[in-house]
Amino acid sequence: MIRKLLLLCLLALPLAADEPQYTINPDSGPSTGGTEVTIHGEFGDWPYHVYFGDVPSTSTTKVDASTLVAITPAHLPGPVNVSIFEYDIFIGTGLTFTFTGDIPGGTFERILLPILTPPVPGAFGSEFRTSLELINTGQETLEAHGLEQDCTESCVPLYGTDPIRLLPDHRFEMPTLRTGTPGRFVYVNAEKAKYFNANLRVYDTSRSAENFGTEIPTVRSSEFRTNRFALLGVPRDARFRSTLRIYAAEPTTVKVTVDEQTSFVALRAGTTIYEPAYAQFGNFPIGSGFSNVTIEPQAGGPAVWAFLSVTNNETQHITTITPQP
Amino acid sequence: MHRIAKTILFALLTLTLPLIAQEFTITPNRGPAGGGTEVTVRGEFGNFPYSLIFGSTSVPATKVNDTTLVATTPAHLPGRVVVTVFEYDRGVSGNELTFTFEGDAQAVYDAVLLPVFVGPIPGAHGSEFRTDFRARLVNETQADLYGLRRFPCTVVLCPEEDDQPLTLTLSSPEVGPEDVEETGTPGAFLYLPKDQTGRVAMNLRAYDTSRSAENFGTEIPVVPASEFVKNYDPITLIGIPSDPRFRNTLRIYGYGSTAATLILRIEGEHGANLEHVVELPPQPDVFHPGYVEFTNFPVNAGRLRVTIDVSVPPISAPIPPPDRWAFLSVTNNETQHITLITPQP
Repeated sequence: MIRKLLLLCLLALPLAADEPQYTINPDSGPSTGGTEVTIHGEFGDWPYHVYFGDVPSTSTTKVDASTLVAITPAHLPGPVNVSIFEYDIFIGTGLTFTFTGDIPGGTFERILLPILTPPVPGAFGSEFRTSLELINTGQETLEAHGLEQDCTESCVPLYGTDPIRLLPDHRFEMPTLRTGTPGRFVYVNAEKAKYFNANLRVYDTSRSAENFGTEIPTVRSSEFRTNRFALLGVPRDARFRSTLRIYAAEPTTVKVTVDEQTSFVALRAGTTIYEPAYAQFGNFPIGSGFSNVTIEPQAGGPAVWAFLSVTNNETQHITTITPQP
Repeated sequence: MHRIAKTILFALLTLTLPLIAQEFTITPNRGPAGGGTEVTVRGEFGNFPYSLIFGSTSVPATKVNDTTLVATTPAHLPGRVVVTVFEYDRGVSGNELTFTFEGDAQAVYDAVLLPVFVGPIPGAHGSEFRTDFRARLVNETQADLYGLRRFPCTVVLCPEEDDQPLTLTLSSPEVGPEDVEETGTPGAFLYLPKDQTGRVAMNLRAYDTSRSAENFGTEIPVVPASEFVKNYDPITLIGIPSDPRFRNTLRIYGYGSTAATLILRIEGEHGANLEHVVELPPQPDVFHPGYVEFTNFPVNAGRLRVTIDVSVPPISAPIPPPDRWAFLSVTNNETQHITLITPQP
């Protein structure tokens, strides 16, 4: 028995020694890209490309049989896997590169998921859940950064925010963690963003037989507003409660006017690029008729998006009022 | 002011204006919707200031001689309008002069779709569905909305000038459901001049009056025509239930003067793969979209995905398809509660 084990170890050692070992230097650089990195390993007579996450380097040069030099692309800040594309296959390297600094403009499209929370108990036995379904209608794999995989079944997340990889023409309802506060920013490659389709819905599990829930829009950065906008027709009926939710990429203060009453509402900062700055407001008049809510972003401040949910106090049915058109 | 009183007042003003019969000609009698066409009107003219009214839009006219006026057309929604010669303080009547504005309205106007803008509709279990539309001036001092009828026309002499805008001002910044007539079939296009985009907030809501105590209804998006997909790009909707407790209605809208053959591909989580062909007609007029709806969805097939593709025409007869938008309503068969599934993001 022991001889067999020794034999296996002896056989295994050379195999393990044949696994190529890669190194990268440097292993960090600015998110705007342009860092020249040197990767040592074993390379054949193939064309090579280096990928940082799902973004290819702007150039890759094979210097010799053990050296590639690549220029980093612009990328979201944070650590990413580095892989090598050898002719027609991807090779994992076990390497990481950390992008530092701010989000580079133009490379990624930012999409807001306004509500992405774990189940929330409500009144009268209700339980509100968020349903998120995604699909990539393009021909290439699309990475969605900011959605964390629910690793309850053997998967091991390498880093805090491994991107979700959406295969071409593949629809799935990933068991993603609902980590919104309550909203979440998701980033996708700007060139592939038009292939990213989503359906976000909140529903009450206790009433799912009668009510499929309410669609919540997913919001591109271009829909955020720097000018004053309004949400119309908010009921003053005491049978409904209204909640205004306001989002921005950075902390700011907005002016909220409900009919003739004005308040200044401060959005608290998110802790990462995936957490929008956020505030909510619930001070609406009760009576007859309807109110109008005007939201005015700070002059020179970040663009803002907001929506209002109208919830029936008994049935818990939700109606949204979002900026239109 | 009460709707009926407004109608009567308009009728009285129209009837008391004295009219003088004349023979006129206009050359040319068509031009681009963007305006800027110099037109010549021939007739008999005196020593008065003159203007021309294209539909309801007035422009100054220059008197060249006793038989000739010239003027430059304004921007106007596409379509044929009556041209009125206005002499000092009155319209001069005679043979009907018309001018046809041609081309794409989006050259000078921004169009927005109200997908469901209809009067009360009875439904199952005693339900009655209504749509409420609101618009409010939010920025600047004026906004002109074309395509809204100010009030239901119940008398013979009510104003039917669809080219006359409903103007929002600082003193009258808002219109609500009690101010406008639902003119959708079921959808309707509104237009704003391009430089006025961003001045107006809108809200459109569908609700069941029989359940208004429990349910505030469902917001319907107001969709800029610029968000319609173009050429042969597909529309994809996901997260659609196939639970038999719900019924699905897919509504597809077109913006353009051409028709299109659409291929609906329905894929279910549990293997259903279906294809249907539907025809999207052209816009019947500038204020209404081309429209088709589809309800034949499979049941018990898990979550569904719908892709709406345009059938490519033969190379010998390439006809560009109209721009398109679509959404799906999921209605509970008992409670009549509606959930929307719209193209996102």
